[in-house]
Amino acid sequence: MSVNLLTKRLTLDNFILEMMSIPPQDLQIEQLQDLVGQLDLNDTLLRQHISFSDRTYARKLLCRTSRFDMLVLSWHPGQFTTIHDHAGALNVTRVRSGTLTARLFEVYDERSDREKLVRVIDEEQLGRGGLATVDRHHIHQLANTSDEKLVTLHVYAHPLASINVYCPNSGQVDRVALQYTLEQ
Amino acid sequence: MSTTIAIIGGGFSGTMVAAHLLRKATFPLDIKLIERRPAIGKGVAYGTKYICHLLNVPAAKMSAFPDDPEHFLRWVQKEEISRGNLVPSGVQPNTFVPRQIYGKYIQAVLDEAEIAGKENVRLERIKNEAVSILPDGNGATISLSTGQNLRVNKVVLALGNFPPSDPFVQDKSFYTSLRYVSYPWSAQALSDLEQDDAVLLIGSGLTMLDLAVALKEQGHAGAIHVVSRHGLLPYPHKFTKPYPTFLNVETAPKNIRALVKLVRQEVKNAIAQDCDWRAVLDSLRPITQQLWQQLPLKEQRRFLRHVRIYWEVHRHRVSPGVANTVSEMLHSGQMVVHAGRIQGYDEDDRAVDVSLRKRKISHKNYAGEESGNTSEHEVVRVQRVINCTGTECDYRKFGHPLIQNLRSHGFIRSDALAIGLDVAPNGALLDVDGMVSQILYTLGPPRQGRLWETTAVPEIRVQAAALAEELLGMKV
Ligand SMILES: Cc1cc2nc3c(=O)[nH]c(=O)nc-3n(C[C@H](O)[C@H](O)[C@H](O)COP(=O)(O)OP(=O)(O)OC[C@H]3O[C@@H](n4cnc5c(N)ncnc54)[C@H](O)[C@@H]3O)c2cc1C
Repeated sequence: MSVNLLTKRLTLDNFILEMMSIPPQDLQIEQLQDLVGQLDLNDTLLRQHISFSDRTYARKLLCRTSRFDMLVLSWHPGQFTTIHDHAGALNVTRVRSGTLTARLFEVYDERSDREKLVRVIDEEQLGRGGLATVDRHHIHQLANTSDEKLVTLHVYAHPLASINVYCPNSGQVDRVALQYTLEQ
Repeated sequence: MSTTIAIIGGGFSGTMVAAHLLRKATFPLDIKLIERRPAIGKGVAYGTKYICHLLNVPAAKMSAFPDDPEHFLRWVQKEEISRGNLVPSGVQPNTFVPRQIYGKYIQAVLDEAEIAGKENVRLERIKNEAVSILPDGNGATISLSTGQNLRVNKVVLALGNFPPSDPFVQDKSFYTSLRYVSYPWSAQALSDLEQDDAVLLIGSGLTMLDLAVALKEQGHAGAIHVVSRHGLLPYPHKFTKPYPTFLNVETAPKNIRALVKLVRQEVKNAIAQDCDWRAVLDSLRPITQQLWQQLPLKEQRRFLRHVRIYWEVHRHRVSPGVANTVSEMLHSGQMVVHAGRIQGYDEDDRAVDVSLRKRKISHKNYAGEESGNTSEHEVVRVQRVINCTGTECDYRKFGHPLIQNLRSHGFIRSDALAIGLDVAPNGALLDVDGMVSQILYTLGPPRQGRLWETTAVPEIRVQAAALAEELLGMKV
């Protein structure tokens, strides 16, 4: 909504070209952050992927290339993700509208590969335009703990096939294959 | 073994239940006050960052305690030195104090109750979000969004006010635009505006006035369009001599038409005696809940359809200071009020054209000008549109996991008018079959269907004190 957000534009086409020009093994989180930070948030295609669901936050795949996934997530107040890591993928999230709560976790008791107890070590609130980065093995959770709807844009490099989900009570870690809602 | 009572929501309602529990408990008690916002006590109403957002009730009527009406006044007068120049001329009984200060007051009330409480009565402030409640025979399990579960004996739902719904239009695509603000209390509702941008505020009640004076406070110079069905603005407060009660609950008519007629007649009588209509309405306040409860459902519906809008602008008045500011904005032409409906939006790169279908009515606004019936259609071109239509209270519409979870398990149900939750007189929630819960309770805005008058401090403070006693088993 800011003048900035409305005028500072990196079109999706150009974003894709920029991303494809960086060899995947060379991609740094800072570069990804910089590019996602320049994306045009009022983009029509992006807007078409906003859709709220009462059951859980809605995930819509906006674009997938061999090197990255771009998703739009729409959250009603109170909706939240599991506690998870991205199984080696880099991730940058940008708040399009609303306020995002991003929590970072650490393992404090590693009983085995598939049993790890985690606890919150950091929580931040990000407003419109704000960026949250998740490094390859960070454990995190995203939530909309505000009173208003939230829309976020997510880029994962490499494309995300599965994630590891941490159960906060039992400590059990499960690998979960991801499914996307494609545009209807 | 100590008892555990969880309170979900730390706005005025939840905080005051906690304060009363701390004061009154005589047995070992654990109170868990769960609030998702960073600050406990403020809620939506008193968490505002704008100094120009004033209470719409004078200081002498804002005590947190029904049995100590001057409590807030004393507190704020004592604290004045440290308040700096937020209230330049000092706080009098009739002063409309900034809402921020009231937020600090509620926090102070809780802190004080905590310090004075008995050793075995403990308060835990939990900054988290409750996402589900599973009641069973002897308590309930509450899950938080970070995954922990809490085991408790009783739960108070003090969830307060919910955001407005998007106004109906055929093509809703504009509602995904960055030019649209769906939640008027959003921290970013007024950020990044150019000074001369034109703004459209949908709704013309207290929320709209808040946004208008906040725009003024930040030096906004652009046009402010306001649209609402009737184009009616809340009336300002005026201090008048009290008017004697003229209605008796027992003999009062049980239909809306007759009631409205009686009140109109009484206003005429009052004016003839040099009294203000406000005093007539205020004389109804102590019996409004009873009058409401004895109306048949059909009449309550009729009230909501035909009278509500007029009731709201007369009953929920605004401080004279805010009314003056808005009046100036109307006089100068910066603010224009349209009576009508939004038909659609047509957005381009630089702005959005909003087409309005106007109503053929007219009335006098603050500036004494007629507003309403110039043309059938009008298009206003603005850079931002803000939804100020007031809180949504239909619990069937809420997608919040907590509400959904309670609804889908049948632990709660809407009241017959769908303007709140179905509750027993003691505040216990009714389940889908109408059974009164022994575990789940509520107060404040969710009791609207039962009480109608239940959203302001003077009503909620009474409920909070009574509910605490109920929970502690002090009621006979
Ligand atoms: C802008 C505004 C101004 C007002 N001004 C006045 C005034 O001047 N005088 C007056 O008498 N009344 C006023 N009111 C009326 C107001 O309703 C009451 O005064 C009072 O603030 C209501 O308090 P509450 O605690 O019931 O609701 P809220 O203040 O809405 O508090 C509910 C709290 O619950 C929290 N919550 C909700 N769900 C969850 C969850 N699942 N987990 C954890 N936390 C949760 C929310 O974050 C929120 O803080 C105003 C209302 C508004 C909206």
